[in-house]
Parts: sequence; C-alpha cells; structure tokens
Amino acid sequence: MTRAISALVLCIAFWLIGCAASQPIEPSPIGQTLLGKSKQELISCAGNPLQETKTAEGTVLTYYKEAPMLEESLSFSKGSRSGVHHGCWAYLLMGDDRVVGVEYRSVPPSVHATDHCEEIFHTCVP
Amino acid sequence: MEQRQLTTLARAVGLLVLSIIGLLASPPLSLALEKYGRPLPSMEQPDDAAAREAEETLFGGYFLTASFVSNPTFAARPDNTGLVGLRHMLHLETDLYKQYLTFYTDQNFFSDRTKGWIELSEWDGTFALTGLVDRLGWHIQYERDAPLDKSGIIQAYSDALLTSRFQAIQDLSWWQRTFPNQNLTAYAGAAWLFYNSNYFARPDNTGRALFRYVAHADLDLYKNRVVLYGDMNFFTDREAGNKLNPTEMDWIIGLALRFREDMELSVYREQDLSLDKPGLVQKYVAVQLRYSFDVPKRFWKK
Repeated sequence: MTRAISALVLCIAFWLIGCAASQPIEPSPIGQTLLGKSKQELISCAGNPLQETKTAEGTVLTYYKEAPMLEESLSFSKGSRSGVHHGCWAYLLMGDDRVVGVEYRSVPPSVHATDHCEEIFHTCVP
Repeated sequence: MEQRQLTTLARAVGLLVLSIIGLLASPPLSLALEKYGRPLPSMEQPDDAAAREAEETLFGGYFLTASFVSNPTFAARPDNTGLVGLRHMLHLETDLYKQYLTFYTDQNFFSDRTKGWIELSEWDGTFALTGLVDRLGWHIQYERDAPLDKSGIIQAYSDALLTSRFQAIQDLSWWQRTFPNQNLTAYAGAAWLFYNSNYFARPDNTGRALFRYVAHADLDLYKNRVVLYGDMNFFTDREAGNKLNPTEMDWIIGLALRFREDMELSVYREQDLSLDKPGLVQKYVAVQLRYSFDVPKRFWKK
C-alpha cells in the first residue's frame, strides 16, 4: 500500500515539475457562441442581468455566478479545510441589440473560475 | 511496515511539496480572464465594484451526516475507546476581507456504535482564520477534541499551515483542450503545531505532534458533479529523535457525486497508521451526505 501511495505521489510531483511554465487559457466554447445574440435571446436563456451599464461603446450586461460551497470546502475526518470563495463575472457588450463583446473575469484572479460563467449561459447554446 | 518503504514515501511527499513550491517560483500564469469579440470598456468604477461585491458570499457552510458502514478500528473518543457509528458536522465560514482573510468553524460530532449508534460520544470543535494570496494558502487553526458521554482525554492544538495550490485547467494549456469538462486541483504544504495539549503523534495515542505535512488532490471527473479526491496528512513527533520525520500518516480517498449544486453524496475510506513503529491502525469506510447553503452579501444590505 505504501509503495502504491509513494508511486502516486511521485507521479504527481514529476507531472507538476513538468508543468512549471506559463500557459495561456484556451477559449471556452460557449463564450464565443454568445456573439451575435440579441438581448431578448440572452434573457430567455440566462435570465435578467444583475446590472445594465450604459457606456460610450454600448450597453454592458453583467452576470455573476458564485462557485457552489461544496466545491469551495471539503470535509475530512474531524473537520474541514476551506478553499477560497470564488466566482465568475460575465460582461456582455451590446451594439445594435446584439452581443459584440464578451468578457469573463474570475474572482479572485488567482483562481480559474470561468467555467462558472459558462454555466450561466449553458442553456444559450443549441 | 519496512523502514525502506517509509523513507521512499517521505521522500516522495517531500518532492511533491518542493515541486509545488517550484510552480510558485515560475512566472505568473494566466489571469483567469477570457475575452471574445470587441474589447469591453473598463468596469472598475466604484459603483460597479460595490454592485459586484453584493453578489459574492456573505457567509456559507454545510451540514453533513455520515454513516461509518465499515469500521473495525476508528475510535469514537479521543482516548481511543469505542468505535464510530455516525458522524455529524456543521461548517460555517465568512470572508472577513475578500479572499485574503476568512473565518471558519467546524463542529464535528461522533457517535459510538458499541453504545447504540445514536448517543454522541465525541465533540471536535475547530476555529480558524484562513486566506489566499495568489497561489499561497494559509490558516491558523485551533482544534479541540473532547469526549461527550464521559470524562477522558481532551486533545487540543493550534497550528499555522502554509500551502501552495495547482489548478490543471489554469496551468496547463493542453489540459483544457483535452479535458474541457475535467479539472485537477491540488495543494501541498506544511504546518507547525505551535500549541499542543495532548495532541498525539500516532494513532495509538503516543508521542506529541509537532509538524504536519499535507497533500491533497481533487480530480473533477465531470463538471464538478463527479469528483475523486485524495488527501494525505503526516504528523511528526516532538519527542522523537528526528522531529521532522513523519510518525503518523492519515490518508483518505473518496468519490463525491453532486446531484444538485447544494447536495453531495460521497463514499470515502480513511486509514490512520503509525509510520515509525508497529501500532494501532485506525480505519473505516463511510457514506456521507452533505447539504450546503450560501448567503450573498446583498441579503445583508437589504
């Protein structure tokens, strides 16, 4: 048993060593498909935005999704170890009633959470 | 267990900790930011920031209950008497200052299957401050494990823990291409038990713990709905010749199924064993149900 655990730990360690380099994030499939959708289409699949902000470039619709608590903290035999609260803000720039720009922003920035933005719009794709 | 195996294990864990620290030293990774189409105007005006903050968590937590479906040796009290039958726990946490400072508490209860399963036999209370700065996580924690149904040993400690974190979907470009619906999150680190009242260094209640080494991994098998996780926890003995050598290893492996965002069913196995000499091995298999709750800041502001 100890040998098996040692082998597993070693594999993870070598893998991590191999990963110590800067990597760009790959685009998410849903974010791209939001471009061109109308405000009405967005509301029907993702609900009302939390905020609508008028800017010189157009109206920005704002959505947010917090990661579920079950993902943020795990229990162990006599207690737990807390993760970090995180979530994703989605900003959609509208031009002529169509989405012309999409931005996903994880909070805090050190935690990748753009998958939660994808969850907001997962019913918007066919 | 052979000494050679234990040395290999200790070296492996050391290498894991070093490699994660190495990741920290690498250049800053992605900013967890994705953009499509036309660039958006800056959304960092003070009013917008306040509106966004209102949607984030004010406090949250979960309640869990577990049945130890197989338990040959996992004790139901800190003095190692009885055998755990049921476990119940309440976890509460709140951010005091963004992600940098969070308070949490766990109130964990066990029952003794040799005394009818229902009556509670142990109460473990934990109070902690925790936080995250970039990839570095930390906590300062106080834990007190006490018997409930009779007098006996009370185990208590305070520790300071430092961990570093790795997220495959963020750190490996090929991961997201290959596994768009999966993720691997891992962390490892070490803690110093700067206060120790009867917190032992082995499962047979011998020695006194000084340091703790932790390593944890969550393998998200499908969109955070199916998660395979493993955790290792090592203690060293302040009364031993070598105070850095682990004397106890606790490991857990489990599979969690989240059938709703706020509900999870999991099955896990834990084994706590002595590393430097033969002794009591505490182990069990449990089935657990967790229900979570989360209150956003806007409720407080209303």
